[in-house]
Amino acid sequence: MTNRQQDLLRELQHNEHILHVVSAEDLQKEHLELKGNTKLIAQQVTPVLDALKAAKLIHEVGGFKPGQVVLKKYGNKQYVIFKGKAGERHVLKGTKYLADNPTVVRMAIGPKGIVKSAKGGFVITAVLSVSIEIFDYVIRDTALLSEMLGVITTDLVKIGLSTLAGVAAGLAVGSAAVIGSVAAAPFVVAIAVGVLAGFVLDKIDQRLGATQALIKAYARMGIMLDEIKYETSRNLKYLEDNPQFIPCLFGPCHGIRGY
Amino acid sequence: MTKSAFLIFSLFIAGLAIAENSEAVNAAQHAFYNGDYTKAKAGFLLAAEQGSVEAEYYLGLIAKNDPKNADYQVALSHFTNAARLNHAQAMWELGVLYENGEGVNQNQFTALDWFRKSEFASAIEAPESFYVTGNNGELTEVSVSQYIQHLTQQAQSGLTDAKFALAKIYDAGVIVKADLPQAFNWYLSAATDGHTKAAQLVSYFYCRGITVPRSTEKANAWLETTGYSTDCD
Repeated sequence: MTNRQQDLLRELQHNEHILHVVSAEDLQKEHLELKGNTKLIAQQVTPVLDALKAAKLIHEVGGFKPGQVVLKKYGNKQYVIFKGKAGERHVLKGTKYLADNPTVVRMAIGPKGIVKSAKGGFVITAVLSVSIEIFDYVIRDTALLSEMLGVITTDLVKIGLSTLAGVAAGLAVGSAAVIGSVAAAPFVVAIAVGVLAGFVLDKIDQRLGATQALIKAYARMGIMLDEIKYETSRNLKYLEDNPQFIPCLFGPCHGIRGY
Repeated sequence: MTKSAFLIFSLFIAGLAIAENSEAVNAAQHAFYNGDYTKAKAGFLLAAEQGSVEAEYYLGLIAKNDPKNADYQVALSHFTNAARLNHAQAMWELGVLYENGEGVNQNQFTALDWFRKSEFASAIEAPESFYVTGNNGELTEVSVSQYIQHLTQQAQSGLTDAKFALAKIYDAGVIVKADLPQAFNWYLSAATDGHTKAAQLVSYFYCRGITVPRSTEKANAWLETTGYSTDCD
């Protein structure tokens, strides 16, 4: 891998948003199991969990504190969706009720106008301790994404991620990736789906090459990484000279259109 | 002459109104994504009055996701308005309401009707390129036919998820031409392996008589395996 590729990989990894999805029922059962409270487990499970209680369970089961916790009802069941705190790359694992080998859906998203952008793109990683079909609900849930991903969701809406969700479900077999772009949206989207046993999130790129796919996508568009590097430096210098535009890096900005 | 001038003037005014409406929706969307539901709602209500489909969809989301006062009836009304005008995401949300029984009587078949309508209305485009990842993590680009072949081999070797994936591909008709009998066969094979979603779709195909003769008995038998309570009648 060239230095330029490594730079882009680093940037994408830095801009990675990791969403974890677990079943509310399984989380409670795992917690009861952990506490040795194994008698009549099914009867002790609360049908409707709240976010505060869910955060406590995640902490006690997984040993880490989630950054944001949202509860959602998909497919007639309640799910806990949470984000780790910044830099948190733990995965919630269980011994009996939670999957030891979660399914991972990884989407690396880069602007088509990358050469002119100061941003290299970002990555959304969904760690699913539930069946892959739930990803369909997650990726189409505008309200959830707005809450979990913050301002970048406006860009996600522009991409029309929901239009790619069906394709993502069609890849739920591991070891496969697709690259697509959506007409009228200034992005290239790469999706990788895989099931990893006992994986480490830091090593994920070695097995699920979403970011590599994105680099290949740039190459297909005839964009060399050297051009990106040059233009990015130029844009950063522009920002240094015009600091009033710095907020535009983080969200929609009056007077600045596109990415 | 006067008529033409009037027509041009009317079109100009209409154009201005659309641009203004679009800006109002954008502003309301930004408020929505910043978590300011009150401001977003005010903006969307105004835009919806002027006929914005997007505004109807967001008003539905606000009604449904309001942490203090979720109102599923209002959500249903807004999503229905947007769905009537072919808004794919609103159709998906209607499916979720029916699946969960929120604001409506729970009905998995009606939910699936909406989910499928949403997928068709989304005008999903085929991905530009396909890759298969090797054990070393390197991506190898493959053609569509090689990709289908890769999936078929996995499915034939008994991998349930591959069966489901293949069924979805033949069902959606995005990557290859839709082939509903093939889709049904792979759904059935995955369902026989115990794949819940596949069983739900097998039940749906039987209930709606898609590519197979309609059979409420078979539909209900398959649905029972999924834990859903709706009866096909």
